[in-house]
Amino acid sequence: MPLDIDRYAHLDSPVQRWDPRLKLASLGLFVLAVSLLQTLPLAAAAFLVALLWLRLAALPWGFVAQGVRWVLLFLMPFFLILPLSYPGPEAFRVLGLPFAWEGLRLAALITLKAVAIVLTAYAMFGTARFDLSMQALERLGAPRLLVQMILFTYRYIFVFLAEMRRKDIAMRARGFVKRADRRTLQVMGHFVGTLLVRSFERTERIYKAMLSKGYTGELRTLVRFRANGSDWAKAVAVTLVAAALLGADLVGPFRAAEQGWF
Amino acid sequence: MSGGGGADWAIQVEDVYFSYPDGHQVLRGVSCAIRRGEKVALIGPNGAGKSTFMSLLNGVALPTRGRVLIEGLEVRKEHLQEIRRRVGIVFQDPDDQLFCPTVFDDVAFGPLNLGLPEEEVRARVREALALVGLEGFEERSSFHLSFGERKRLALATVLSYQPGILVFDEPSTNMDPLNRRRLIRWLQRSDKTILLCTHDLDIALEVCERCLVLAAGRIVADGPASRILYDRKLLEAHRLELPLALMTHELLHEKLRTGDLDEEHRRIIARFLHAHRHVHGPDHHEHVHIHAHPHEHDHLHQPVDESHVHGSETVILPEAEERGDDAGPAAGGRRRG
Repeated sequence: MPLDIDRYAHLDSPVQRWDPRLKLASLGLFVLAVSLLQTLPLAAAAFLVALLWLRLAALPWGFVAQGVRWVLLFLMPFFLILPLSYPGPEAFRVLGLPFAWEGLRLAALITLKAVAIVLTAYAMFGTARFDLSMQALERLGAPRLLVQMILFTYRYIFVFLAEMRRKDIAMRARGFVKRADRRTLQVMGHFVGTLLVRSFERTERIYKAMLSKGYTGELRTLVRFRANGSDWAKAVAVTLVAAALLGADLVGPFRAAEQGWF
Repeated sequence: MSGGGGADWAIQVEDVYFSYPDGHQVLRGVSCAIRRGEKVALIGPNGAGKSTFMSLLNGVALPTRGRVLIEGLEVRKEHLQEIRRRVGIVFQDPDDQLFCPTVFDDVAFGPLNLGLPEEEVRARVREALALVGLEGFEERSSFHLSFGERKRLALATVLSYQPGILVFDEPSTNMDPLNRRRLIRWLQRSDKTILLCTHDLDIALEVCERCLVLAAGRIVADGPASRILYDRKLLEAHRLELPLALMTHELLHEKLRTGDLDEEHRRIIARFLHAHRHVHGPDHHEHVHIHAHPHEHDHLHQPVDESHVHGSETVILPEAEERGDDAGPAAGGRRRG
């Protein structure tokens, strides 16, 4: 995922306008429902619904595709591993190796569900400023310390990366070339170590600056979330969709049908 | 508010010792007192204990022995919030001081910790940003500002909770000349108590009336800046040197005195001195007087065109235009580009 996942938070759409608390809570339920799906048609339906969230959020497809690309890359091996390791009816053979239907089905199921969840995550976190999303999570009951840690991590990733780039340039300026040898490993070890120590020192200085400005453990803010009727309506709608998918998956005809296939 | 010497004192440090848990002793019996409204430079070589000294002023560190009073109130665990409201520290690296997602959040951080009502917080943020010429930056991300802007923003994050005492750690480090000049003028005009901890002796010379020298954990000199910053022996004994401005003058003085000059030299020197005197401003130049031969003297003090130094169009600290004594074109607070 790109680091600035909230790049398009300023766009105006029903999802961007949605109260982040209700958005995160209801889409969170949707994610939970998707993760429980067992049948292919409903996973496909969930995937389509996730596309719908993105469509509603008006997030550019290219921006989302960047992130989904990595997920797909990670999932590709499943299309080899699962069909080759599952018993059962054979779909086809490649180089004499039997690919099982059941394995293919599982791989497809996992992929559809994962992509649907990632897409939904974009709708959740790509549609509000990241710090507001975190504050919304805190209001929803996420531990305060955890939320602050995420916020600071997010804030300082960029400082950290800039520092890494500077050190990298400094190394190359002195003629260092990365190779596949022991010395490179050694140098990179020092590089990472120095970065960690520097970061640790920086956190101490930041903490000192925070104390100096009266920090006592709580990040206070002027942000007041407000939910109106349409915020609730959206939340109810999303929750119903999640429930419908899960319900159809559990009691609907698909489960029996899929089992019948084999 | 009272006690320990009366309300006239902004900072009182009484025989303070400080050592780190590992036993490393940084301060060994520091005493000094700074009056309200005084502008004081704390100078000293690397490792003299300047940073530690600063940390003691707002209780980020507590002395191992001795005590520190801020406006008569002792720095102790019980008063930390009040102490921190009174003492604002502007740290050297703005990236350490700007930790919030947006400029607004950073500037509002202090006021929010004071528990001020929303309207007051918003007003203070506006005001502090205006003071450093960053109006309209509220929704931007601190990290994506230029270094000069971040340095000014770091100052705004402290100004917003309105401390009476401002402590600066190396305020001019890495600043380009124009930003440094703005800062100097801002400091000169401020009516707060100011403590500058710095190696930049030129900024000390221009801003401060008093100077403390900290070396090896002790105050080794305390007196008017016009005496200490001119004391070559003292400064060099503590791994410091004369401010550049004074070194240059010494050199020129020597050249003029020995007459080791041709006409071309004189012309160059005269031009240089003009720029120089100019930099120091009309009311701060007693130290740049050169006792040259009478005809040299006349030559050296020709009126000069002042526009080339102050005539910048980019942001200035708005106070410069309010007082209007030597400000260039009014551009206070305009955003660049």
